[in-house]
Amino acid sequence: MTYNLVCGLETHVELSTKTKIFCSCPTAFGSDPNTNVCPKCLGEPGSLPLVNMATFIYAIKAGLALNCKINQEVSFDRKNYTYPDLPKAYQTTQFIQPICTNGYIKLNSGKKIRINRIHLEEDAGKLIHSGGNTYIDCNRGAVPLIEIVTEPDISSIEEAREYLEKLQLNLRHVQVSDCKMEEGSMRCDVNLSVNRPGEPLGVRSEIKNMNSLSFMEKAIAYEYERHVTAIKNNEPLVQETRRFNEADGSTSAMRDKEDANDYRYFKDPDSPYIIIDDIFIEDIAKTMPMLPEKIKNNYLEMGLSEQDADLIIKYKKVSDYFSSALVTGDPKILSTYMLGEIFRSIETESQKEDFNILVPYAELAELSNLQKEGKINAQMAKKTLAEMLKSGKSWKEYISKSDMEGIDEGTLIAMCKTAITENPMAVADFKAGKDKALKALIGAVMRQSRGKANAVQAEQTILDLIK
Amino acid sequence: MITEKDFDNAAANALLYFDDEEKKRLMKDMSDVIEFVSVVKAVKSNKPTAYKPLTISASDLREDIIGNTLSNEDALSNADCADDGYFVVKRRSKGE
Amino acid sequence: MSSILHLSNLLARKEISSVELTKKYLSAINNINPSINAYISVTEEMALLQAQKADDMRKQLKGDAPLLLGIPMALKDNLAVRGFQTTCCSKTLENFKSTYTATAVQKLFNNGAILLGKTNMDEFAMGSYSNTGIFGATFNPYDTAKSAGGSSGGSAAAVSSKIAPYTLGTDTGGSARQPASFCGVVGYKPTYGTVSRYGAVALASSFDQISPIASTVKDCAIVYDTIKGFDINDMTTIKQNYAPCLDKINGNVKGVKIGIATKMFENCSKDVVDSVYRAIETYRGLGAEIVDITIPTIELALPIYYIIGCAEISSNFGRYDGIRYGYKTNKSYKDIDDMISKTRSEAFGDDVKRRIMLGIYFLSKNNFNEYYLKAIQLRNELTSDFENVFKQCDLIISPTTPTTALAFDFNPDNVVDKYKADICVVIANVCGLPAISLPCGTDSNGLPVGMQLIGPKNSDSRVLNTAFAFENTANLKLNPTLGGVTYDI
Repeated sequence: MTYNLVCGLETHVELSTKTKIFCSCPTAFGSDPNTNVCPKCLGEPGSLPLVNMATFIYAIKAGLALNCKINQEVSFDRKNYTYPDLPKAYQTTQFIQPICTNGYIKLNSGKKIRINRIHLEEDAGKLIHSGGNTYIDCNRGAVPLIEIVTEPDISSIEEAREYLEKLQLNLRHVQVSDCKMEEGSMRCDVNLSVNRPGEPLGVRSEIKNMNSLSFMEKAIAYEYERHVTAIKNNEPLVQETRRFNEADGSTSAMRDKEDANDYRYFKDPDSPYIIIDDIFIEDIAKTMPMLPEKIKNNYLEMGLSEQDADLIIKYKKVSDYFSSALVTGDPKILSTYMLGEIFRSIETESQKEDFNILVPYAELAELSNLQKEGKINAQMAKKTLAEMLKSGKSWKEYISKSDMEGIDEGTLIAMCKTAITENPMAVADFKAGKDKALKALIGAVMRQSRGKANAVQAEQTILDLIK
Repeated sequence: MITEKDFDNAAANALLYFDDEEKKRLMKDMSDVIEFVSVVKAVKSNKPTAYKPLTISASDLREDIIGNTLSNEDALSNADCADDGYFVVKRRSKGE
Repeated sequence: MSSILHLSNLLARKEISSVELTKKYLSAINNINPSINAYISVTEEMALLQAQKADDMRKQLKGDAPLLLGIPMALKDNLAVRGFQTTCCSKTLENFKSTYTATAVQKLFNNGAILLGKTNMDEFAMGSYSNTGIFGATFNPYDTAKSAGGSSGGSAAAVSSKIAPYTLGTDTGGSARQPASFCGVVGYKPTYGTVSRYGAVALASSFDQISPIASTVKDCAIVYDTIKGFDINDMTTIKQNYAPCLDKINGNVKGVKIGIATKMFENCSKDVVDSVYRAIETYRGLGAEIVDITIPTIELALPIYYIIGCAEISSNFGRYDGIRYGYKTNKSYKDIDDMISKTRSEAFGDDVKRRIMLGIYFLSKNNFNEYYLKAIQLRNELTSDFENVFKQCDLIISPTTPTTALAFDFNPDNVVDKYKADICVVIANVCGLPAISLPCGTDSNGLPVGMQLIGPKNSDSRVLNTAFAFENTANLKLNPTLGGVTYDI
């Protein structure tokens, strides 16, 4: 019997604005402790919040990318609780009137994971526990976050992964966050329950603060099993908050502080109601880049495979470059260049994010056209591209007019005959059934032609001659 | 009249301790105030549950420009305990 | 009659320098403050430096000097001045030094004001006697057995006994007007949102306003004109055109409709009622029209104030945990929450604890809708009521307080009885309206009686002008038993 997994995700995403949400301190990562702080984000007596317009713009971009309705009157609320990383003893967030509601992310299967709300809030500071002391760094305090809450529409681990990857993809494309889970700019809480099909929803548990996709998958897997076992054995489950244990992939209950808390939400009296008019939204909509789903569809229409398209749209700068090259170049050939030689020349993920190769997209497009038109073969193209990537020089530096002339049929036949004559052993091996020997003959032709010959044509010609 | 349960709950959330005498006195004071303000319960109103003395436009919000920060020294200047640039609090202390 | 205008004139004519003037005030503080405890700290060194700068600046100025240039003042000790103590007269912040200056204060400094010191208050501005703070009580300059009122008692008493030409106080539920009333001076609470709260230690955020306290209406107008305005650091300030109020003060109230709500005169002493009614006659004589008005929801003002006020206080005060600033317990503790609880319990006085507890109670899940949300709705009702009332009249007149200055032993069994005296003043805070208290007479013991004028939102000029009209005509000569610096006026 399969048990239904009913799962929703709450994702906290750090916005990449220059300054914090409620003060003008920089959001820059990695500074010395308590140097990106001011009376406001330290919660000094008499300090007041000062809302950053960019946080609204970024949140609205996220909302538009995720098919949300943008609420045109928003406000901030106080979530009151005490913790050493929270200077004011309340987090300023949006409980009553969030900035976006009712969106969705469509999975490849066509299923929509509905987004209940997106709201703005401030991050807390950082705590380091060491030697019986707690060290508090308020640099991260008041860094802007958006919290994206789904409906419990997710029914499998794969769907959870796909949702989160698509979420990252969209938010990166509209450049509101770098969404790096490992660096903490994206954190995920999982809410799930399990029930037998046809029966009412089970008891919900929440697993907090997953900071990698694979941890999230493991957590869901573990928790699902735990619920299933409990249901099978008729053991009670408690609605609770749990933490994920990275060491063994299990989850365990957090102490009840969270549940006992009554946050006493009420509207923050230090910030007014804020009206977002149509023009504000339209101005943002105008600057929205093409969204990944549409880019992918374009690539698919041009003949790329789904897998290749996914790899290219994963990084905005890569797809921006690629889309520019596509205007004049050949799609399939360009994708082999990109996913082959170019990606090979880029070692790290962050280099892909910051994609900045020496080859201008127009040059790449021209190269692909040369290959398409048969003026150069794939091998020559690959070699040339490798050089271009290193030097940034034009393909013209590497491919001369005579290279492009190629080999006429007569010359090719002559070269093949020469190869056959000079390599009797290979011919004999091939006739004896060793297919690999053919490669040696083709190689001889390529050497003769200094790489100009078309390998496929050469192969065919040799075969014809041998027969 | 405020119940002891509600009082204890409020004290836990307020992070305040009271001895028995204080608790007794404060429970009476609080009950007096609660009784006084409870007139609001009986009053019917159709007015909104939002008080809006001021609304502003999103285009009036602050520009995303870095402003002045405090020096680390100033930031820590009023802290009882600071070390290496951090605010420090002992998780458990034997007191002085 | 305005001390500021007079002093400004003396300074302009070089009859006295700012340094000399400041020294006179510092000396007067030295002599008189011990009897009344208006100041809790005196910033002598800074004052003299500022005074010297002001004198230098005046020499270099080609055009008109700002009216406040070179004139000393004092600040209630909940207003931040960078590098100086802002104690709020609480153990919590006894050793706390602000790292920035409040906007309103900075505006005064930018206009050449000189800081004499910080004045006494009730702890964290909660109270009506200025006696709950750690530096003791402030005594009334008219009768030192009586309170100067609160929570801005120190500010009012300093002006009253002439050891500060003007001060800034704060007014959350009458805390500038009530002490002004008790001390026979003028206290002005502006329209909410016209003076930045940045740097005023928050009590109840949607009620707090920084309020000038001075000896005359024009003085208050001058100070208000200087400190008012939109501030990017306070999102609750109104972005609008701010024309000077002083220019509109001419004493002409012909045809101005002044409303009287009899409810606001209930439970007031005979002396108070008589004095205010005499003031009403004065207005009639000046050509104002007196109309009867009713404010149906006026009884709800206090409950609304306590519910919402305490709720906001409970949230604003969560930050005092001894970690980044403020008092921290010396006792042993088993975890951080224990440390914080001990710290707060030792540092806060009873009034502070009571309001925090009440605030948490009103905001808690079970009570939120019935109390807090209902109070918000009723706040909107009261605001509507006043909008209607102000269609029938231009201003409302009432006593500021039901009695003259109270003795310190007024300690009713039911705390609510203490609060009930605030009925007239609290309304303006609940609805964000401009309101002024000015002296209108004395009782049989010579203690000042204060009358209050309330206007609709953004009618600050008219409120000040109407107040001036009475002051200018009545020409009251009030004499406290203690007097500081006087000048021939």
